[in-house]
Formats: sequence, C-alpha cells, structure tokens
Amino acid sequence: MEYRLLETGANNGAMNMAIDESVMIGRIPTLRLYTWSPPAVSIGYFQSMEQEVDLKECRTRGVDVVRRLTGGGAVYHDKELTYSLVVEEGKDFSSDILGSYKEICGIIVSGLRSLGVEAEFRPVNDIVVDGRKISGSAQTRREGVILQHGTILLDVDVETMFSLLKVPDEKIRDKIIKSAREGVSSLRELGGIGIGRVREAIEEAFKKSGRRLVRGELSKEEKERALNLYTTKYTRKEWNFMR
Amino acid sequence: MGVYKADYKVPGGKMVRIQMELNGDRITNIRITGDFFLHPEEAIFELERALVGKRVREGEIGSVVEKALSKCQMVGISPMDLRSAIMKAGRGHKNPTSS
Repeated sequence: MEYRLLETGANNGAMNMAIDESVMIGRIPTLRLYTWSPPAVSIGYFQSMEQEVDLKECRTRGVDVVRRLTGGGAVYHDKELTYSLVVEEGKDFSSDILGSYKEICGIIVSGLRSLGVEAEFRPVNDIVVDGRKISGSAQTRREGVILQHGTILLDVDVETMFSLLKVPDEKIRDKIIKSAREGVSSLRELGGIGIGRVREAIEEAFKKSGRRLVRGELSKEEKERALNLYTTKYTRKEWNFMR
Repeated sequence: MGVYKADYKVPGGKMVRIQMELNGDRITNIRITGDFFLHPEEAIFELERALVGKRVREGEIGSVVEKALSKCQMVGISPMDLRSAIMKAGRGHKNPTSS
C-alpha cells in the first residue's frame, strides 16, 4: 500500500495536533514525521490540564500546553522525533486496537534496530530498550480512520519534565522522579544517534515492511483545515481545559 | 452535599481520577479523568451523564458503567476499574450505603 511521507518539521503544540487531526479527517494514508518548537506538554484526551500540568512553570519556561485527540498520559515533548500514522481501519493494519499498536510500533522497532538499538515492543503501546522506555504511542479511531502518534526520545531531561508535570502525590515526588529516570532511556544515552539518522531509519523500515512511501506535502484543503482547527480548537481553553 | 475525590491506580499502571459531588448518597456531578484509553473517546461524557442521579452502590454503579460503555473498547482499564474508582471516592461519604 502507498503512503504519503510528510515531513512538517518543527511546529508548536497546537499546530502539531491540528495537523494530525486535519490529516486524519483527510483520510490520505500518511506517515508524518515532526518535531516541537517551542517544547510542549501534551496531555491525554481524558486528563485534566490543571491536575496534570504546572501551568505557571510552563509559562515561565516558555513551554506550550495542548490536549491531544488521543488518550494516554501527559508527555513532555522536547528533544524527540514524533511520528504520526493515518490509515483507514482494516486497510493495512489489524482492525484490532492492540494488534495494530503492535504492528505500527513494530515498524519503529525495526527502524531503531537498524541503528543498532536493541529495541523491543512492550505491550500495549511502548517501545523499550533493556526494559527502559524509549518510545510511547497513542491511538484514536474516528470515522473508520486510525490515527496513531508517538514519540521517539532523542534525549530526555527528567528534571525539567517533572518541573512541568504535577505528580499525584507530592510526598513521593522524589521516588517518582527516580523511577522515571530509571525507566526511561533515549537515543543520546544509547550512543548519540541524531535526528537525521532516526528519520531515515524510520522511513527505510517503513519501506522494508512492504509499503511504498512517496514524499508529499499537505494539500491546500488539509492546510486550511489545520489552520481552522488551530484557531478554533487546539489554541482554545474550551478544548485544552475541557477536563 | 460534598465533593469526593479519589485516585485509583489500575493494576498495570493506568490512573483513574474521580471527582464527584453527592447529595446524600446520590451523585449530582462527576468528572472522570486519567491516562487511560477509551474508544470512542466521547463516550466518557455519556458515562458521566448516566452516573448523575445514581447511588454510590457497587451494583448500581457497575451496571451503569457496563451499559454506558457496552459498545466501547477500553485499553488499560476495564468497567470494573471505573466502578472501583468511583466506589473508592464514595468511601469518603459520611453515610456509606455502598456495601
């Protein structure tokens, strides 16, 4: 099956989420690779912004906040490569949610392995190296279309991350930070693999999985819709502070 | 009337956070948040609406959750976990009628 390869570069959190949704609505099978500037915290669809995020600290540090269309937890996006995959349900990946996580993450795993990183899929939706998380993904399905997006950590700064995120129990903050530091890895730790090589490796792994990848651009319609979603949804408190 | 809260850690790692208001033992308002997955996502609003007016009793909460989410797929949590989270929040209630 043929996919469009979109490299949209760096955008702010709201625009990144607006583009993902716009591509999903457009239904064109797409692999998108992107980054975040400024850094951003994204929260899962069901999370409460105020419960999860230290908004004052985010403002002080110039970090964006945005609610995702997908469930899951709060993520600090800084030094990472993010992917998103859009494809109609049942067309190319398992209709079953758990199965499709495994298949899509499997491509990322292959790409990382081609770089000499001993990555493994850890159900439901993580990729780990030596048991430490290097990539997390989240999926939604709407109108028969799958959107899965996920991070590939190039570098991780646990202290900054936890200065921006609230912890459920302040009494055990130190313990939570320690376990996050032990539980999370990054490509910098594993030999300092740069973003360019990771991007190429993911694209190659996608092609090796038997799919065609044709470099493309956002269509005029997708751009307009993304801009509309940006102004009417992802930059609005009605969405970001919905819960 | 009072506000009742609970964080419920699901075996496997997901977190369900409940914030609800009760009148006697009846739910007058409830907000379910957390890092779980529920498809379609909008079903959460339907569930919260369906819980309003219900008593914080295991059987009653359990059947409302089951019914509201019968056509949904969940990842990382089950209807039972949601029920347990709501019951945990309800345990702060002064006149427990939940057992």
